[in-house]
Amino acid sequence: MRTPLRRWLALLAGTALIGLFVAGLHLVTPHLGGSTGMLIESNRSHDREVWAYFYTEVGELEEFLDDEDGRYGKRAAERASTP
Amino acid sequence: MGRELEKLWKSEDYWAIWFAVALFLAIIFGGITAVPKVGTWVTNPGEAYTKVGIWIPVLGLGLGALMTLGVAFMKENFAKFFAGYAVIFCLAVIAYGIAGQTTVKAWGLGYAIWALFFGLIIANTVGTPDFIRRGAKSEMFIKTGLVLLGGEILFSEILQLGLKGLLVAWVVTPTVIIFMWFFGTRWLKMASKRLTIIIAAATSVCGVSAAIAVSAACRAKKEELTLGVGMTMIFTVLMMIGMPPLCKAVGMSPAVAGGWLGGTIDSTGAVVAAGAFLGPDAETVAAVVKMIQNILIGLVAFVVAVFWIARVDKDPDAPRPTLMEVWYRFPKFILGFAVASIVFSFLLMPILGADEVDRVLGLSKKLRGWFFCLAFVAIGLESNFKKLASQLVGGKPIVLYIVGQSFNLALTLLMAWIAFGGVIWEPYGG
Repeated sequence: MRTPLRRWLALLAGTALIGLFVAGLHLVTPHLGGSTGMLIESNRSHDREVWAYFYTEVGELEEFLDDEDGRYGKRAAERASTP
Repeated sequence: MGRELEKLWKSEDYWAIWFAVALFLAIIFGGITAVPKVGTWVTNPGEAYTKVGIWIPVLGLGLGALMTLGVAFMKENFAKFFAGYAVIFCLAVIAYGIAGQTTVKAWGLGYAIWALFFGLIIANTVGTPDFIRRGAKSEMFIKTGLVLLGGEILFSEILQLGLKGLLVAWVVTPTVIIFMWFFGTRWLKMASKRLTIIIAAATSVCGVSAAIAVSAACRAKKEELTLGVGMTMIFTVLMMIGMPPLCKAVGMSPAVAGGWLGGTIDSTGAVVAAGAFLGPDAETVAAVVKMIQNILIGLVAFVVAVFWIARVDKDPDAPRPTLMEVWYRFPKFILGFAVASIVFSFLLMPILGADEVDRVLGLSKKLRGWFFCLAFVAIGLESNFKKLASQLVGGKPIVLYIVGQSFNLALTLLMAWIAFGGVIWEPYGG
């Protein structure tokens, strides 16, 4: 059975680990070579919502639905279906 | 019948619908004109919050007040709920902040994973205090978020999304779910059927959002959703960085590669990122295929809910449940989810117009994100590492994911080649 002090220390350690992970990732990523480095750098420079869980989160909704300017909208989809 | 009527104001299922309806109406009639979103930062986390400032606490109070009203109607201790909710909201704000760090964001490590981490760390070190536990209404948060998500699924757009994309997304998705279900339950004999269907849905539909919807439909345990989401997020990052160079190395055409990426990578954002690496044609095809696949989320949740009531949870000696029994046991928020989708697609789109619907959904999707983030913090706070580890005993969930994803990769590649490789139609792109 852990003492209350050890429990609080474990909480601090867990939080510090998250902080260290983020800092480590930030420091190491620019030095990654190859396709992984290029892909992550491209995501960063384009400010992509890489964690988006649903299509409406990827960009503004118009990106998907706009007839005229939508990058993934009806026109793009029609272009993908038209022989 | 009386008891069923009483559920209208006493059950979380219905309250999830009322909360979402209240929020949709507030947005439509101008009561909510903006929803704060935590920004991005590089080395100073404070930058993430400077633009939104006071609006984050305002949002927290507003959502808290709305849900506290529901909790009071459900005859629970609303003061204790609000106190716990306030802490959970603060943790959600921090989780969003970490997900906003530019490198973390570029890797696709979203708020869900950080929200889960924070909850898990607290629960498994100092333990979740009772007052916080009372605010940790993970199911209520998830269900409200799902009804809001329903509005984002516009059926009216389906017909306009290309036939080729439909072929890739809608042939593969149900095939993979059925394959993984039988592989998990019959071959691996997994102890939890709920975990099997969560992993199957996350693999074949759209990762985290599908896992959330299906777990709510089959009333899964919190640890099962945590495991499904955690595995999905890890493999999404691996596939996002591994698949584009593979497509390049084998000289795959951008359109076929886009179809393959869109049909297999779980998270929508990662699909776009991986597609963009191969050029604009691959990015467009990947995004459209994923969008079509996303639309299946409601149908999958509906079918899983009915299947669970009629087959999985059914007493083997009992007769087939009647329609009324199915209705009584059916998770009602799924109807809210479907109705939101139908109302937005066929009623609000023609009445309000596409621009106004865009505005409404632009705000509702941010609210939905906050509800899911609250849910993940709450799930973490109610989970414990021992139970999580017990789900992984024997490595069966990982085997299920790897075998199912491999089948998904092979079948999607075949369908992408048929649809975009010039087998039936002229090849796309150039």
